[in-house]
This record gives sequence, C-alpha cells and structure tokens, in this order.
Amino acid sequence: MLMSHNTSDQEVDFFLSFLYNAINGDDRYNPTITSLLKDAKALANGTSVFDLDKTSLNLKILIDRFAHDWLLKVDVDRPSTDDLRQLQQIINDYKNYAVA
Amino acid sequence: MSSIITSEAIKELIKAEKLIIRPLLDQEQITEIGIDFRLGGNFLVSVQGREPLINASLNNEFGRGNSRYFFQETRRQLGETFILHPNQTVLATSLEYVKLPDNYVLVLCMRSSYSRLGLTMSTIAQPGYCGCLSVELTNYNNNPINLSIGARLFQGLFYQTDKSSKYFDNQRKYVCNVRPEPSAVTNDEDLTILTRLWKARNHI
Amino acid sequence: MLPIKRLLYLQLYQAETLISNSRKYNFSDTQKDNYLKKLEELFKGIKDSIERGFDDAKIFEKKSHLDFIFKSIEFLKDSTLNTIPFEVVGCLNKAMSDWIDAQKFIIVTSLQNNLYSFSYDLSYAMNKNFYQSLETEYGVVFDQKLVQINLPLTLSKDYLSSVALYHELGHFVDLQHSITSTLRYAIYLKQVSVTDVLGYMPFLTATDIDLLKLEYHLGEYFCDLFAAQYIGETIGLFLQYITSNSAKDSPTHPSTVNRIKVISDFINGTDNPVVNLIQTAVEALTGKKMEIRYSKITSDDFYKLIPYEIKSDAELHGSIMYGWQVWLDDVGKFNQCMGYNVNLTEPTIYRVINSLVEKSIGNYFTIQHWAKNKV
Repeated sequence: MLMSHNTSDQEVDFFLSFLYNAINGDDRYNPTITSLLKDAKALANGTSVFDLDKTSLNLKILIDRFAHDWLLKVDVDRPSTDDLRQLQQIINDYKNYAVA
Repeated sequence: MSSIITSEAIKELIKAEKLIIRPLLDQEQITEIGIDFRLGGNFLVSVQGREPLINASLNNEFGRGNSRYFFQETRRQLGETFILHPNQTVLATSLEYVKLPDNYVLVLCMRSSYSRLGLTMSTIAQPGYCGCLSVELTNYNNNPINLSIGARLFQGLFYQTDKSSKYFDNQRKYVCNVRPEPSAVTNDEDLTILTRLWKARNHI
Repeated sequence: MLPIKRLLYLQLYQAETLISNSRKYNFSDTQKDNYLKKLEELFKGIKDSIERGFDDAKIFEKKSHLDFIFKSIEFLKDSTLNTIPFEVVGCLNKAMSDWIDAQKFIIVTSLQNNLYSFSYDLSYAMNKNFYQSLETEYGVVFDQKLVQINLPLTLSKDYLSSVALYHELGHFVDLQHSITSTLRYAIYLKQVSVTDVLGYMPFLTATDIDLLKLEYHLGEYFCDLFAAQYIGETIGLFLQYITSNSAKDSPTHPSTVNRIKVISDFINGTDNPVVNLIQTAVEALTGKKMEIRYSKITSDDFYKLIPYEIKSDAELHGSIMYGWQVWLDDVGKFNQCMGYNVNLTEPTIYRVINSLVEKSIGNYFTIQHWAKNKV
C-alpha cells in the first residue's frame, strides 16, 4: 500500500513538471494537460468517477474540490498560459490533499 | 527367479495404478522391455567448497565436510538445456515421479544414444519407492555436452522380486523427492559404530 | 552550479557504470534483452539532455528518470537467478491473466533474505505520467512494464505459505484497474452509499473522512477477496496465524476478525456489505465479477504419496488448498491410504506435502507445454 501511495506522489510531481514545461512554451504536454482538465470538468458536472480515465484521478478530484468555479469557467480544450499558471498554483497549494 | 517384465505387463501395472508414472508424456516411452525416462530440470552441481573435502565418514580429523556444502542448486525449465562439462558429476532426477509396486525393483541406465556421448549413470529404485528417480550423471567425454531438459536420457527395466517388501518398514532418508537431494550418507548407522571404533583406537 | 545539480551528475555517472556492467547479463528471454536495450537508449537520451544543459526546475524529472534505470536493472539482475520456483510463479501468472493483459508486463522474480517478504514490487507498474515523460522527452516507449515478485529465499519451496502471494497479486490487480482508489473517491464524493458498511468501517461517519485509511482498508479487503477466489478459506487461516487473530483495526489494516468474516461470507455466498461494495467497483472497472475460481480437490493421492493429476486451472489453484487440507488433516490417514504404517514424522509430512504440491503443479504445466508444442 505504501508503494502505491508513493507512486501517487510521483504522478502529481510529474504532472506539475508537465505544467511547468507547457507554461514555458513546450506544447508537447498539452494533450495530457487538456485531457486531465476535461475529465476534471466532467467530474464537476456530475460524471461518475467510475467513468473517468483513472490517470491522475487524485488531481481531478482535487481541482474539482478546491477550484470548482474556476474549472467550470476555464476553456479545457485550449487553456491559456494564465490558466495553466492558475492550475499550477492550485495544485501546489493543495498538493497534500491530492495524495490523501 | 526374477525377470524383466515387458511392455504388456508394464501397461497392466500402470492401468491398475500399481505402477505410477507422472507425467507420462508419451505412451511411446513404454518400450518392449521397459520405460524411457526423461531428464528433469533440477540439478545439484558440484562446486568447490571452503571445507577441504567431502567427509563421507563421521570421523572428524579433517573437519565436518558436509556434502551439502559442495553442491549448488540450479533449475531449468522444460525445453531449456543444461551443459555438463568434462569429468563433471551432477545430481539430477527424472522428470517423472514414480511409485513402484511392492514387488518390483527398477534399474535405470543410460540410453545408448547418450552413453555413446560419454555419459554414464546408474540408479536402482527399491520396491515401493516413491519420488522422482535420483540420478548421478557424469560426463566422461573430453568435451562439454549440452542436454535438453525433458529428453529421454534413461531407460528403466523392471525386475519382479520373489516377495513383496514395504518401503517404509525401514527408516528412509529420501521420501517423495522431487529434486536431487545431497547425499545423506552420514546418516548410516554403521558409520556411528565405525567412528566409535576409530575413537577408541586413537584414545579420543 | 547548485550542489544538488552536482549530485545529479554523480547519479548520472553511477548509472553509466551500471548500464555498462549490465551488458554482460545473458537472458534466455528476448523480452528482457529488448527491455535492457531500451534502458540503454533511455540512458543515452538522459545523458545527452543533461550534458546539453537544463533548467534547475527539471532536476526532479532527471533524477526520477535515472532512479527508474537503477530500479529496472535491479529487477533484471535479480531475474538471472536460476533457482526460481517456476511452479509458484506459474500459478500466480495464471491468476493474473484472468484480470490483466499479461503481454503488457515482464514479471521477474527475486529471492529475498527477509522471512515473509512476500510482495509484488509495483514501483513502475503503472505511473502513466512518468512513462509519458520518458516518451515525450526522449522518444522511448516502454510497451512492457517490469514487475517483480519477491519471495523469501528460505520459504521459496514452501507452497503452504505462498498463499500470501495471491493477496499480494491482488494489490497489483487493484493498481492496474484503480479499483480501491476509484471506490475511495466515489465514497468521498458521495457517489456511492456506505450506510451498509459502517459496521466494518465506522470511521466513515466522521465529517472529515480519513481517505488514506479508507483506501488502505478497502485495499486489504479487496486483496483478501481476490485471494479467496483462488485459494478459498486458506487465506483467512493464514491471516489468523500471522496477525494473531486481532480484533482491532489499525490505520492500514482492518481487524482480522472482520477480514475473516468478509472472506467467509464471500466463499459461502452469504450477503455481505463489504463484498457487495467492492464487487460493484470491480464490475464497473473490469467488466468481470469476483467469483470462486478454484476447484476443491477430493483425492487420496497425496496420502498415497503421489502427485495429483491436475486437470484444469481451477484445480491448479485448488492444489494449494489441497496441500493445506492434508496438512491440517489426521496424520493417520497416510497409514490408512498406504495400507501400512509408513512412520512419517511431522517434518517429513511438511516436506512431502510441499514436494507433492510442487510436482502436481509442475506436471500440469509440463503436460500443457508438451501438448501445445507437440503438434
């Protein structure tokens, strides 16, 4: 169990590094980021967790929990650099909740 | 007078579940005068130990020298190969697990295709024996020989004894073995008597 | 340069030595050979990217990539051992194939010095973001993931205690399908009702649910049920022994008493809220149901000191239960079935049972492989 918990930490950190890369102009990670945002938004709109892609599920829950209103407003298909910065801030601020 | 039984009698024994051979991968292993057995995948390979010698006695003037320390286990799967180096002896077993009737002895020897390569072994299994057949394989060729696990290396001949004997009426060192076991020679009771003799003679 | 960056360079050159030494490994398995080649390709990519220069913010990324190389080589190196208990691994792989596409994984086995070190090391079994990072940064795709089964060296031929590995396999299946993590969130988001399971998980009544404890407890119940599919009540028996039948739960494990109840109810088909809850998640996420997947063996073969002729995968898993059944049975039955007093001592019976379970399982695979390749 401890193993899967540590794996979960690593996945959060890697997603943060994808955001960092994207914010700095590397668009190769955009599909992964938009995919996560779409799922998070679906969750915010009432989709069952069983129907979501399980990658970074903890982050999708976190974003819905702590930035529900922001999530409903953001353009998940084409998030701006500002949007990505805000997302980065949200995850950094509430990261501890993501691993629990 | 005991005699070798032939294929029909062997098949009858197997059918009556008096002779158990598991697995018998191919009925053609039952030849006119016996059964061909296959090389199993478990080996004990002789290695140089820290002790100076293998002590097959209980006299301890050279240290204990337990045979266990001179063999290393290795395994192969069906279809893989095992290389036997020149003058190397390994302990192996048959692939087949055998249970003999109370009134038959099994004599195992090398099939001629393999003995012509310089491989030798011989094993006897007593009436009522149960386990894989333990084999000491030696390569007397000047060259290494690469053997296939599962190949038919051995032929077994069944001799009927003049009366039945119960295998477990005597204390048994090797019971239901499925892999080669190091020699338990030092469990022989006679060695205890002989060691006492030696100690008495040498005032130990 | 930041000191931490110098440490990264240290790790880089350590990895280079490791990769160079690993070239002497000889696998008779081309999958492992190909995996090693990919690691070399990955290392080259990491080294080039570090030597070209990189942002300090990416130190964590590079370090994680190098850690992966170390771990993978550790797994591969352990797998060159030639005393692996193929029979145990074969049983586990059969069970695994019911739930996971085995082609996606390379399973290696390691013998550990620690007693009771039964586990699956799943460090890199999932980690989609991690593998995405490798693909994006270096163009290296790992189609197959390495998973390591750990067995204690001293018990590697002990089939009676290998039952623990079915529980551990459950963790692997859980991770693969995100069963208990998804269920945990479904509970947290109130998408699933938990009224019925409060007796087993009273901490769910709290305003701020301890999500970590919830995931651990769900995970343990799932793994117990997963194992029970294949080895029945044996998993419960083993649990009772190693946990001294505790009636108290802990942050990471439910009480043994509750675990036994859940296992028992599942096997007997008795309605149980924990079983129902987990079953719902399993079906939603895997499309399969947890059900009894073993056949009970009723035979005198072991008492006659011969291996049992296993006829199916269900009997394969049942053979371990059969071994337990014989171990728990009256010693006198050996004499009865052999027709005379065979004078077997308890240590001998222990060895005999393990040998016969091993041979029964080994023969089953041998016959299958032979038949498949005979044509």
